[in-house]
Amino acid sequence: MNAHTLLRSLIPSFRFFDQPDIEPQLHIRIHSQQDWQDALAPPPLKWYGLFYNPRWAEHHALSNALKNLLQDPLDSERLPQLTGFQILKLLLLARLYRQGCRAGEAEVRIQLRGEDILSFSLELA
Amino acid sequence: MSQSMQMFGVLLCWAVTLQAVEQLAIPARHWVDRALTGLRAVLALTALVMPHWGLALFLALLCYQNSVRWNGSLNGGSDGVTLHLLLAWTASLLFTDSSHISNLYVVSLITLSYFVAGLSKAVHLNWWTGEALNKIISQSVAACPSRLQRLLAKKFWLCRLAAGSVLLFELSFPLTLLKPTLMPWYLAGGLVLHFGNYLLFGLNRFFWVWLAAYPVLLDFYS
Repeated sequence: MNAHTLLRSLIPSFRFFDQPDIEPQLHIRIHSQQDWQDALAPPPLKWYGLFYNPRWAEHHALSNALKNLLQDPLDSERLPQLTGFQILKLLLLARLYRQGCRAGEAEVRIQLRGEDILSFSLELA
Repeated sequence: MSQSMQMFGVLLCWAVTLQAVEQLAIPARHWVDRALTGLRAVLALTALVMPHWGLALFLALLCYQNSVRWNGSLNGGSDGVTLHLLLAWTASLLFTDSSHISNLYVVSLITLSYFVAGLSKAVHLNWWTGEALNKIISQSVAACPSRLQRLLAKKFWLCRLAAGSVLLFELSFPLTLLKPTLMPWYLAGGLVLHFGNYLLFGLNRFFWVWLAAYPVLLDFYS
């Protein structure tokens, strides 16, 4: 936890959907032979979603976690200790478990404007 | 307590309950986080029936703690607005004689939220042409897209019209401060905007949190 996080939690951001061109992309694949999957692909909307919408809340949490992580300085040595990175891993693993992937390793890559800016692997054990 | 403040409290507690119950279905970083989320749901329901400044303040602290644990926010701007509305509600319950100050805070917060959102879009040319909205919708189309998503993704002129309407609504919202008779019309427009955001982007939390503030905005000038 740092001063930036404390402040970010206190001051609401009202900049909604302002720059779609520089939205970060998050891709995942279970095996290196597999095609990259869009990890930010939204879930379908249920008819009762206005009153109970946990899958979309999780989807927005993942998207927020990614944006918040990219606001912090990305030092590859310190990466595992970063809160944003831990949250991203937690949400990705939860999604993979739900899809039935419970063993092996997944590869994750983060892109900005089509360029890879970070990649890492996830142990599914 | 005025009727609008009662309505504000009920809607805000409902929004906080919904946020907490939804979060119980999302992975937690630690079991303590899950326990605090459960506590938030119970306290929000309690405050809905028995409003008290102590409960409202504790809910605000729980919401802030939750945002900090999620490195800034779980669901973007709706978390911050929930926190500030809870603080305003706490003040209005604590200082009942000077609730107009907390009401002014709510009105300023909501007006600023629309205006800043509009301004941050308006500086990008692609928002004026409709391309930005078209791109956002194509990025957010789910495996089973809704009718509205399919329609806006296909009909570019509709996207341009929708983007123009959003910009006009958000940028001109401060006009309601100068001409309060416009407020009901703007709030009706706000409802359409938030419901559209829910249909297109699953933003149900934004719908309920902003709706909670509407009774205060309606009552402010009357």
